[in-house]
Amino acid sequence: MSSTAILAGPPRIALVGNPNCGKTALFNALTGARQKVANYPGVTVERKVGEFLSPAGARVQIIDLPGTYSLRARSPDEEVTRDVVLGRFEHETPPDVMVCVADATNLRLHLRLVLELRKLGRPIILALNMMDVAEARGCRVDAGALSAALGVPVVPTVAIRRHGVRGLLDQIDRTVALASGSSAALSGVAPCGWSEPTASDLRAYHREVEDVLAAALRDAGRPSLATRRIDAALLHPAIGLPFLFLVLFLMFQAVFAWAAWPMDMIDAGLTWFQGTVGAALPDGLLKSLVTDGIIAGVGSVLIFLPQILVLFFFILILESTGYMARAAFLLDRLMGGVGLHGRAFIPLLSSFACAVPGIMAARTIENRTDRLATIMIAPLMTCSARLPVYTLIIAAFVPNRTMLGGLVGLQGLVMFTLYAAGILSALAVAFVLKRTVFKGAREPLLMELPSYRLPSARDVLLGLFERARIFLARAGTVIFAIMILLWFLGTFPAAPDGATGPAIDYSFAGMLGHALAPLLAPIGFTWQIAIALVPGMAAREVAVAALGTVYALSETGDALSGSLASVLAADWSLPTALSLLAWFIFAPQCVSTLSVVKRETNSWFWMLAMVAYMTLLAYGAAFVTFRVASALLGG
Amino acid sequence: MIGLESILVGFIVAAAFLWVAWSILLPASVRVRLRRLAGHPPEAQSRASSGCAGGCCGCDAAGRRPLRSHVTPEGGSDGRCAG
Repeated sequence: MSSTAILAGPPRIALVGNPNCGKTALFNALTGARQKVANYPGVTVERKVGEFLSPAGARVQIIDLPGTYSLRARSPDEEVTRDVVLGRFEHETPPDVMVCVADATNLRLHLRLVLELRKLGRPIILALNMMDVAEARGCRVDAGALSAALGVPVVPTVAIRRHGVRGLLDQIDRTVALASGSSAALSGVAPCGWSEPTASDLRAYHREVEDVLAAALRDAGRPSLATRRIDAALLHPAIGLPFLFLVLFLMFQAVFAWAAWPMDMIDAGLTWFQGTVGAALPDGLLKSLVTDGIIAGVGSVLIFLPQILVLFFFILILESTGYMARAAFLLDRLMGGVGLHGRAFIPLLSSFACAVPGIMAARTIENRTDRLATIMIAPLMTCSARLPVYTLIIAAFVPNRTMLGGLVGLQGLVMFTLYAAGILSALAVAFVLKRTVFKGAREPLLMELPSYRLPSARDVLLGLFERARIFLARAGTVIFAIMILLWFLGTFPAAPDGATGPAIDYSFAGMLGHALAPLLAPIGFTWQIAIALVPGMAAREVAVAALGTVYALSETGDALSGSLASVLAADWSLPTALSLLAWFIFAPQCVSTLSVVKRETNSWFWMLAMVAYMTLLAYGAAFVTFRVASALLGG
Repeated sequence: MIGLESILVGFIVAAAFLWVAWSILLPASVRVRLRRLAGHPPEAQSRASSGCAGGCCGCDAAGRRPLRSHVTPEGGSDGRCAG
């Protein structure tokens, strides 16, 4: 690419730094974006591009990069950073300016990367981040002396509170203006002199860091006393794990207890809406489409929004405080017991939200077989799309009772058990995989434990808003469109004259359900469940919406007479309900997950292997559950 | 004779089918090719990383759509200066 072409575009700035130093928070502060930030290393695994207008009015392109300790990349996420910095990506010029973000509380570690980047000869700005934490610890850094010692401009910042951003923007303007005036800068030519640093290079960097610190660090401060005291309790061999399980247990209790009244309100609102629309429209196809197809289907999923938000409230709080990294540390022994890499914890944890970011987070694992093993088990972790399915069945079949003097809710306990079942099955599969197809020595977990921080109310609220937006967007797009199609398939062809059963029995959907029924009869599934599983391939929660539509069309009246849960309680046996729960612990019903597995492994084989093993496990688990439950309870 | 209601319902069902076919059933590579043939730039976000209701924030190269900004074909934004 010619330099003329490069200069025609806006200047490109890369945010580079060690993991968990606040690059993404700075990216959000500069661009107004809402990329995920959390208080543990490895949140960003792919570059993100944004643009902003600088104070001088220039359009600037900014790239947020995964954290790395060195350009000597060892894992795929670190390779992304190295390749962007060195301009190795095709059709992409190297960044014109690098903003190196460093944690002011841990300069000894972070400055090494600054020195490595400085050697590339490109313009660098050092953003000295987390200055508030450094000051609270009594750490005093002389920014001017640091700038003089390093030979690069230094700007103190507190990215999560947007402090120092204006100064950084001014410095970016100055550096870009200076660089565009010099011949070497903004040339768009990749540095060709870079070679991977050797051990002696790294030792030399370390010595130079000591010299820089001697010149610029006035007071090293003391490590956070609060963090040390809290860790002494929460990482205690006897207290740590029980406390972690207590936190998770309380989380699932809260999912039911806190979400009950907003769910009742949404339910009442939807029932009113369905009745009002039903009364306003004349009998006919349009009324059936709107009430039985759209409102019954989409409404069945919308009702679970409060539970999704309560779950994410806890996850966001745990992430922002820094406890998630401790959880990884606490579970390392357990994970090591089944042969998993310690770093697998973060991808598996991310999979509780959604398997897609979980699978992508496996990029932080250096070893390919460890990474593949993590990818293969990530969808077994209970993603939040399963939450509506679990909640629906629990609400229908598990009495809303409390135990132990009102301390423990039975429904929350069942939900906790289902999540535990997902985790245990993932560990069991990992155990088998690591002893068969992914053999290899286990590598130890090396992970920086971040200091505890108070969660920012703004970030938590923004995170919840983002979850709600995503959930509602899906209800209004994918689920809405699929429910219209399902209504069509459940309505046509119309029942013949003199037919006695519900019209859906004679429809395309009814034919499909009855055709699949023999295959699913051994695991206790009805033909309505068979119908719901097909659109459920798009996403797991679509199965709930599909059940809503199918049962609405199965009613002799126009609309579903009671809530979906009460209809299921009357129509299904308990063994069937338990069997469906067992199916959803394992079922690989999510095209997004499968396509990201194909993309991340660059192989159809692993995607198909995942479909095969998860389907077999789902069918086997549902079969055993149904048979045992039928024998014990009488199906 | 087909009434206005039937035509309206047929139109809604056809639109839903086209949307599902385009967004879910059609492989991403075919979609990209068709967009290029129609003279449009590739989508800012790939379907694979759009995530589920669980809240995947879109970890692909382009990232998510920033607040009060538009996403360029490459996925960038003209987000406001927060300084």
